[in-house]
Amino acid sequence: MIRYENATVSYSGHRALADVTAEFGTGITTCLVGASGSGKSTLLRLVNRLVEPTSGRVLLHGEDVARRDPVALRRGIGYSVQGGGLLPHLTVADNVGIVPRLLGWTREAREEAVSRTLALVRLDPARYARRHPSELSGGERQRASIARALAADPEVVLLDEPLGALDAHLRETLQEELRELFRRLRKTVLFVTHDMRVAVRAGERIAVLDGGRLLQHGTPREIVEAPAHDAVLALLGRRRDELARAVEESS
Amino acid sequence: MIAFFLRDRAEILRLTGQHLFLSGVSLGLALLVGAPLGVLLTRRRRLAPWFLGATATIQTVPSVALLGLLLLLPVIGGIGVRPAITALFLYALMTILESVYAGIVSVSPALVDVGRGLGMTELELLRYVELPQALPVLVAGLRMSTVLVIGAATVASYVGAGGLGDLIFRGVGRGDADMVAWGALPATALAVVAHLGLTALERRLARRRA
Repeated sequence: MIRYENATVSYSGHRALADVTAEFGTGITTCLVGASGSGKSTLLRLVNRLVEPTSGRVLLHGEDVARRDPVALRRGIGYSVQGGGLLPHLTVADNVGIVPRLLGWTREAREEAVSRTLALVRLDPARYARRHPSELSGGERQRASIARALAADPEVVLLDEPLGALDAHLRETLQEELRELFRRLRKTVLFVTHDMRVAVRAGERIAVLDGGRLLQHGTPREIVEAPAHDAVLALLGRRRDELARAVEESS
Repeated sequence: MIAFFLRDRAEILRLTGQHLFLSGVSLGLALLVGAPLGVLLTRRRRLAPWFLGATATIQTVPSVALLGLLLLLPVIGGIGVRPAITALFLYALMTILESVYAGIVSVSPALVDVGRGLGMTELELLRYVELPQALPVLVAGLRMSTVLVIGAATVASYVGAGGLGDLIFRGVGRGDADMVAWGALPATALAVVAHLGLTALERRLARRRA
């Protein structure tokens, strides 16, 4: 469980996040939705201490993350970003196996983790393990990046616009696949996206942010059927019926 | 010219060896000092302009003048191999320091962020992200300083450190064109071979890093 208590983040006078209190449940994928500058990435990055709160606190399984050593904390949390963020000079296998390597796992354990997680994201280890990121398509890079986030079997996974660099068709295939995967693995996932169409398909819960404030937090159905704020309505856009249909299909 | 080579090939080889020794030792020392110092500067970026400025100033001092100044200093100066290596080391240091700094500073902040997000310590970031990404720039710096040092090492002859400069200056003094040529040609060849070899390495490294 991830809990925010009055979390505020200010950078040189600018408020990136204003007094957010919320709780994101264990084993659930929550999509953080908002325009750029809404504070959604800041909210995500508070969990693994890439950002520190100016005031308030962030609790992971009931413990204030500020008390944890940042390096140990991050090794226990999966992390994937837009475009994948794979290290270009390493093979897919070395990228996926990097956190197990940092954790000092044996070679056998690392190889097992790499094969297992590549299979989870449907990349055939025999075909992909020895390739470099430059030899992968955009979708394959993103899959490899998610395999890397899962390799050390973390309970919590943070995804920052994981589908942002992909075309619409690929995005749809992957968002459905990811939701099934994370549900099956019972991971606690925070998934940042600016796209409400992605959020209603990928998330079991949606948290909507605007100007650093958390406006609404609920199931996709609640958000689509009863938007609590004008800014939420604006994010739903003109195709609300399309979103409503997507909610029906996914549930 | 061929006659000169046949007669004096042992001497030419000995001086080429000396030339390589002077260049190699000073480059090695410059790497040993410059690489960690360059990394340190990326962690204390406010100090960087001062250090880079100081080493750049050293490089503007003409090599003969630098050796002249070193004549006056104890331990690192005087006559012989030691002041020659000191001077060449100072020349190489600037290029190596600058390339290590520039290489690491130019690494994509997004990749550094990912490394940190995966739970790397500062040392692990350096090992798995920053140094491998900066490597083509580092090798470019090493190439430039190698060529520079091989050229400047000819002047080391002035303070009695030997090297191929011996043949050049002795030949000029005696008006012996063959002797000058057998000093200048191997020195040029060393610089060209170093340049081509390190350029090839640079290309190979750059390919997988885009």
